[in-house]
Amino acid sequence: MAIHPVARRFFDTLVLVGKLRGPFPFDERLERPGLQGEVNFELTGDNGWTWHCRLDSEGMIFRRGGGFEPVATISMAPETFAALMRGEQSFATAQMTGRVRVRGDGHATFILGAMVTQFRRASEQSGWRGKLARGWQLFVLGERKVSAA
Amino acid sequence: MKFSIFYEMQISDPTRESEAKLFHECVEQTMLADELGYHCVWEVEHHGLYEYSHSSAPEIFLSFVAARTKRIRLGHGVTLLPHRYNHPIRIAERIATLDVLSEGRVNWGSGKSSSLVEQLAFENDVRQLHDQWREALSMIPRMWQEDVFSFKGRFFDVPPTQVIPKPVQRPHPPLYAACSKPESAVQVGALGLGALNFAVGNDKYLKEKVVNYRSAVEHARTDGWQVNNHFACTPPCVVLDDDREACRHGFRGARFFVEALARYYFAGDRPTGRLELPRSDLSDAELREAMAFRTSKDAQLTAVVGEPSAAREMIQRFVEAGVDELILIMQMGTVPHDIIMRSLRTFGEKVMPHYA
Repeated sequence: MAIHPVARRFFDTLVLVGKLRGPFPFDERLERPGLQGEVNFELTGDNGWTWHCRLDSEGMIFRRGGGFEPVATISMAPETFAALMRGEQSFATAQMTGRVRVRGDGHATFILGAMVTQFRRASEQSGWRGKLARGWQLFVLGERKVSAA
Repeated sequence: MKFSIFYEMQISDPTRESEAKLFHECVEQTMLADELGYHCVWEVEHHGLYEYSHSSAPEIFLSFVAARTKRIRLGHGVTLLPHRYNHPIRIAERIATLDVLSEGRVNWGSGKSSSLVEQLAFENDVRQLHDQWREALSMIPRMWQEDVFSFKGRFFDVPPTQVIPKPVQRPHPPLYAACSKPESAVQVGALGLGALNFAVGNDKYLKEKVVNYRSAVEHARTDGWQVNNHFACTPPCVVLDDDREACRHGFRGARFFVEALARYYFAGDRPTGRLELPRSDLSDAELREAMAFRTSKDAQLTAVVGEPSAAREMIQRFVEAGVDELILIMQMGTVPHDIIMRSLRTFGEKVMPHYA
């Protein structure tokens, strides 16, 4: 089965950009509370896949496949991931209902929260950043509109 | 196990009137908690986190509560220590005054702030926040213990000064600090401070965190303050006789809490105005799933929601992890005052006595 298109477009873009320009740097004003370490994102089922994310002082970088010793593995169905990114599913509700599950450091769920929130909000930026974010949103979701779940 | 209550002063869709009403309702809740035997009322300090936390002057709120209550302890925490928020001398004076007027009921927690909203509103250099917290922490307990205090450090140069009044608790009120990740719990333990921990993680994860914290406390090196070996967690909580009603309000409130927190702490910007968040009830399907999942072995120890026996089942997991205190978050943005009052009473009468 093919990897779920929303997940593939989202994560593979991050993988590609990481290869081309290195880790995404963080805003130096941010302390990134709790956002450090290596995390696996595991999309379950026939059209699932695993991506690995490393966050350290250099920034954030993604690659395909799982890391061997992540501080946490965040797993969910690909459809849940797509609903989160579209804003159709609250990530807090997804955790409460078990639609999103975490093995290891529970604090890592905030990385998912940050990823979802930043993806949804990015298109509200002005200037070229906003244009880029709106283009990426359209590419990942196949539509531009995201809602607040 | 001790049971306390926690206030961010959350409010969904505030108006001038509903915001003012919120403060008086929270005082009424603390008076009931005092009567029912809750251990402590903890009040945070935040600035500008609209809807998520309207608690910008906890020292005033707690003074008011102190006058209206008799025995409940007053958790002043966490106070933001970077000096653009509060000068250490002012903190020492305020905490001591509250301790005197409340006849020794103050617990004091410290932190450095994590939200860009407040960090930039007070023109902080974010790279210095940790060091400013650490330096102020080394000063304040000394101010409470020394007749004449002086200090020369990286950020402060205080000539010999009599910092008055002194707290009535000897040598000083118990000290706490906020922590979340395992390594920050160890750091807090190594400083001999009580841990105010966000309750995130499964049973094994939390147990390891507590064990590592205790181990760090055993070898704690303090700057002259008394060690406080105490580990507290802060789960969202609504407990009512009707399981479904408790879950409806509890999960809805917890969702508001977590989504608003993520919006301020992880979105990378400084939101203003009404937060774009889900506020309505969970759908029937979501509520059914959440009720079924809450006691599953895969569920994280994040909330105490449901009827009293379900609550006891969840609390037992915290007990087995070695936690000393649960600071219950009943006051969440979407939970009405009358539900909080009923939850306080139900929990106080049907859950707390099992852990006396």
